[in-house]
Amino acid sequence: MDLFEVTQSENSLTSTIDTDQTDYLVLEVRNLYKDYHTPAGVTHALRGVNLKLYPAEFVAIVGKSGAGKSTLINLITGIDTITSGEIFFRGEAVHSLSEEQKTKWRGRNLGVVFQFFQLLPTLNLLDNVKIAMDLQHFLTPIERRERALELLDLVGIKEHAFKIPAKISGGQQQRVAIARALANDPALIVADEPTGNLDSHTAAEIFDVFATLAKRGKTVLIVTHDRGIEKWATRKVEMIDGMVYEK
Amino acid sequence: MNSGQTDKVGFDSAALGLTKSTQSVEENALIRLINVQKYYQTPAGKFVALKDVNLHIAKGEFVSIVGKSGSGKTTLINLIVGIDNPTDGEIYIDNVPVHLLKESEKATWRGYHIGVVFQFFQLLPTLTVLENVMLPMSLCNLYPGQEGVDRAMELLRLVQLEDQADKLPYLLSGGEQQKVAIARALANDPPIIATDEPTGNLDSRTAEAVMELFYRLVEQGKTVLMVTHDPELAQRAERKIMLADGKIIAS
Amino acid sequence: MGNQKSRNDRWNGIRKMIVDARWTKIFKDIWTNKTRSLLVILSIAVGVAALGMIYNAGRIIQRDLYGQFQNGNPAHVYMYVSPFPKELANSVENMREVQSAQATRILAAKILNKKNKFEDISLHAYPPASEIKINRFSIEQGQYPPQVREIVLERQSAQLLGYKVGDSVQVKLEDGRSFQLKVSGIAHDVYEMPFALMGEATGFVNMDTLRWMGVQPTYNRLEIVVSGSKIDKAYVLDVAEKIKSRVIEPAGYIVLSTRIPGVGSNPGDHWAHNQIHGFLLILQIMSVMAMLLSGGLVVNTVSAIIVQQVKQIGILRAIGASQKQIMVMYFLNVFVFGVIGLILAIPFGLLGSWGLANFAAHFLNFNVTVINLPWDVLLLQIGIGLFMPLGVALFPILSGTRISIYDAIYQYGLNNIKGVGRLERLLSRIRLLSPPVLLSLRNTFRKKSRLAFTLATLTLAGAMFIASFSTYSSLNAQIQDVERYVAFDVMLPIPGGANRATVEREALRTDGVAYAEGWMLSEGVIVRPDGSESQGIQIVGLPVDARTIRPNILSGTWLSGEGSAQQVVINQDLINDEGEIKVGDTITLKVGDRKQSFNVVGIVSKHLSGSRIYMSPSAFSRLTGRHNEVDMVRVLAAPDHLSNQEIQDKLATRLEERFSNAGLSKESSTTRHSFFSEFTQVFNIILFVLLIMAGVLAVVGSLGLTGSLGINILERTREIGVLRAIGAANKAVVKIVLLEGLVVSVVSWIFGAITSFLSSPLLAAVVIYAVLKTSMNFRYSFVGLIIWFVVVILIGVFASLIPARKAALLQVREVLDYE
Repeated sequence: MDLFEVTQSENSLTSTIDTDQTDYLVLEVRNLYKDYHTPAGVTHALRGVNLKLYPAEFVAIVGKSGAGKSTLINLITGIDTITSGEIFFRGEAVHSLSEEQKTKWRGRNLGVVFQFFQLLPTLNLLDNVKIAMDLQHFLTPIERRERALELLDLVGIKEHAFKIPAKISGGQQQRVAIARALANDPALIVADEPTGNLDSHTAAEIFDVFATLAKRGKTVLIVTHDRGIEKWATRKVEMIDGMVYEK
Repeated sequence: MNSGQTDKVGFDSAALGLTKSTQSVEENALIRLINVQKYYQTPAGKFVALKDVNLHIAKGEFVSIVGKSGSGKTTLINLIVGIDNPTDGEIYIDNVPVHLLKESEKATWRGYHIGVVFQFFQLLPTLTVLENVMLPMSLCNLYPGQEGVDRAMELLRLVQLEDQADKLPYLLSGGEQQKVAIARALANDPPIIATDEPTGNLDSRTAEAVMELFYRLVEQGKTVLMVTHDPELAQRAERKIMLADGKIIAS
Repeated sequence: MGNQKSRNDRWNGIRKMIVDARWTKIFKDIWTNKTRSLLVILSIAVGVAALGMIYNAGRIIQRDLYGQFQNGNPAHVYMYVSPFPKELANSVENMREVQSAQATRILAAKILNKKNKFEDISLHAYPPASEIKINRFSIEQGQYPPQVREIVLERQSAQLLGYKVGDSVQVKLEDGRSFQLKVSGIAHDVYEMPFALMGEATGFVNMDTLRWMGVQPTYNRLEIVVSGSKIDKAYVLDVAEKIKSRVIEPAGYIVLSTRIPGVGSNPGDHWAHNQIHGFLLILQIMSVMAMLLSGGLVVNTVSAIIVQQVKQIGILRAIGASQKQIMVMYFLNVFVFGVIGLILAIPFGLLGSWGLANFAAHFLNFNVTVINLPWDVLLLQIGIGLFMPLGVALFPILSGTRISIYDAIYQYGLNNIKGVGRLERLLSRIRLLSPPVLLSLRNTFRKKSRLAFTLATLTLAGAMFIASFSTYSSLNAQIQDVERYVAFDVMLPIPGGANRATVEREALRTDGVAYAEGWMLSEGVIVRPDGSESQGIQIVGLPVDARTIRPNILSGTWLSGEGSAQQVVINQDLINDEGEIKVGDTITLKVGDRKQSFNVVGIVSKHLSGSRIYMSPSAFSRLTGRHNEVDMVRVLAAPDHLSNQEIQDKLATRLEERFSNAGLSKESSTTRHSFFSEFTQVFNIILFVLLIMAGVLAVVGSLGLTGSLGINILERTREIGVLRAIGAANKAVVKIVLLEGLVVSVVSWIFGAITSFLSSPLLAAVVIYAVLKTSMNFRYSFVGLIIWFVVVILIGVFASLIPARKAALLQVREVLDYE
């Protein structure tokens, strides 16, 4: 089974990726604003962000704390709501979807990796990966199991497939999170500080995996503190005070 | 201190096995870490957070502890502050063997000796700003009654937030809450201030004000420990301790 | 490690079937938190089992007891008539209003039990060769009808007396002559009250045997089943009236009294119908409470689960689970709890109903035919066991899964107060207390719906607890009132009556007697203005200055010396039966065929003896025509106070002996303490049951409080970490949690106290009416209020201990949210 060329569904948002079509815009962010209203006043977290992401890219967003990196990620993934602006995924408007629609869209089209690995503690690694497919009714149940095992193999921890997360190290857990993010064969993988809690050696391994995925045609967008990302990223975007700058 | 004598919070240092026979400059250091190790046993093997840490910090120093994520800086400050226990080695703060104290004793000791301003240790949402600042005083039975109220107001004045005294925290911005947290840390007039990413959520102006405050505290003779991953911020302290992969690589 | 691996592999190998990981998660969650899951499952099981047990037991009683009862054609009314031949019954039966009539002879006698002590026995004799049509009993062993010199014993009587078929028993008549009878059969009679309860055995003989014993072969009781569609007390008494005026009296016989069988039951109902109904009602209420409380536990637990799993919910949302999908998962969780609970509950409920039915069968002397589970009871249990938890979990699951992903993942930082209600703002004004105390106070009111729930449970428990105590107080107060009318040490009945002077003299001559008083007894009826007659009323003639009675006069006065021949004092029971009679009214009484009018000068309180009319000996003579004859003697060992049990018992034996030797009475006496011991037994059972109910409520209330506090701690682990960081020692942390628990406890006590002012009189009235078929004066128990305060404080303390300990043990580092 080729992990990244899967049968499509009716929805145009999950068609296969042809790596030759490098002009095919995966994600476009237009004029994105995000304000936070607290009783103490208004904070402008994002001030008109524009961003375009294409297939086979490994994009790193860097910047100081409070610059807006996590905010941007949260808006792209739909975890947070935008104040104004537009987000298009493969030409379809995502910003106007309802909460539930966004959730469904996210499940099918996005792979999200957080800083704290956040696997479900009572499920073994196999089921942790598989549940993402169960939720979206992706493939048949038997195929899901197979695919989950293969994804675990891809990230190098197949032999621990039946262990629960508490029995493996932080770095290994993060790999499982990545495998889960890939479960529904999403075009875009978004990661917020994925190596934040890992030592430099393990962090390097994780970046390797992301780079490989990008080479295989995925779009990988990560937010990171780690200056060492320069070695792997194909593109670097800097966020300063809610705006995006690229060299 | 002689045997049988207890200090402010009742620690009989001599009974705890301390001798004062050798007295060098280093032994007089306020904070001493001797051969400290910290590792975790995980099912995947031994994970070393800190290895062979030896450190002396004198009274009145402004020290920054800097390193990447996972370098062990957070573990280090946690150990100094007593929130965590070393697997091996000794930690003396003002000649008190913190590593030997029980959790509850450490909490009390901390209330007297260390003001903590950490990212996750925010204000309690059901207490007003003033009450938050007064809380450490009540917990350690210092500055009772009106004296405590007056002192808390003074501290709020110090951070320019005396007008917010009766407000609940949710009405304040992140930066303002951070400043209140600093005021709270000073409540019991502790000799040591420990902080982790103190300017993380602050705009540049407020961040500057906070750094000014730290300088003033140091001038008054307090010891300030600041953990950060930002090298520029680390530069502003007089002394920089650099960590990588659990080891001190520069001190 | 190797074992773990192979165990996992085996488990996974067993799961050849590919299960959706969503369901796997739920099953593993349930298994991982075994204690908590077990707690919920057990609480559901207990509630459902209790429900099933009580419903099923009720069914069985309905089917077997009432069924058997109805099958035997129960009598609607007994009419005690002067000696009559069996033909009278035929005449009565010819009446349109009468479906069937049966002539019986009832003879009071004594029978020697296996331990050589004489017990009371009521001998029943029926017309020879006639079929028994009313109150048909069944034969279990041996033969019916008994031949001459034979007796068929009721089975419980036989068992307790110690006799089998073939044994020879000694029966002694009232005049003292004894006869040997052979036990020729064992019958099962559900119409007579069981020997164990009544103290009177039942036996069946034929007329020839009576003749042989020298007794007149006449009948003295008519058992009547009326015809008609609407059969109630009034109608039945009306028919009895017609029978009397149209058939009995014209034939020259006198109706001595009319009685509807049973203890206040409706005609045709089982004699214990109301009591059983009352008892089952109480049990039903208990089981409903148990259900409600298990519902509460389910809500608490589900809330706790969701709070604990907020992060996981966030992750699921992040990877694309819709709110519906998540809700389904947690509903499955609850469903599994319900199913397992049911699996436990149904067999245990069945077992319980078997136990309960058998208990009742033993007590009430009937046969349980078969223990089965009717479809509707099964469905009820399934319905409650599944739908109650699901329904009740709806609220926490709905509100818990509605949390935005942002909040779920980035958690629940300390600043999760989005808005502040009026209550919080009010609380922020309280300045007088120290910050840690303020913290507890405000934290208590933070999660209002959770607080409300815990408060509701504890308030309910408190209201029940205090109500139970109040019910007991009321019962006690009533007993104390009754005691005033039973102010003797020993009482001895004198059947047939004896000369007053003789009786009192013999009594005073008895060793230890300091005071003796003779009472005259009769049964009569009130003749109403329209000529109809009431049911039988006990008429008592007693000395105006009687010392063995200290009546509680509600209105008017007691009998007075002058003009006492015209006076009567009635009791409240009579008014309840007959309707409003006031002081100053004139009533007409009839005994036999003698009629006299009297002035009502006073009304005394109820005292559990039924309707009674008190009059002076001269009034009694005027009415009954009996002079200077007493039917009962009541004595005191000391002239001015009552004595203890030991003295009473000794006195009783001596008095019996003396009167027996003097030929005045061969009856057994009754001591005061034994009179009450039966009452107090019943009351103690009632109190016991009520307290268990209250205890269950209190336990669940405290579980609820523990759970609530636990959830509160869970949500505030960061806060506790902060407290530790800024100097809170163990004591301080524990104090904060403890204070919270105590605040909730005290507030619940206040609410409980207020509610108890409503609940107590209600419960007391329901319980007392259900069991004793009478209404009583209510007494509120302040003792109960105070005891509940202590209990509630203890609950607050203990409920706080575990969460406080957990909080204190939290490592500050753990709190830092690094996984």
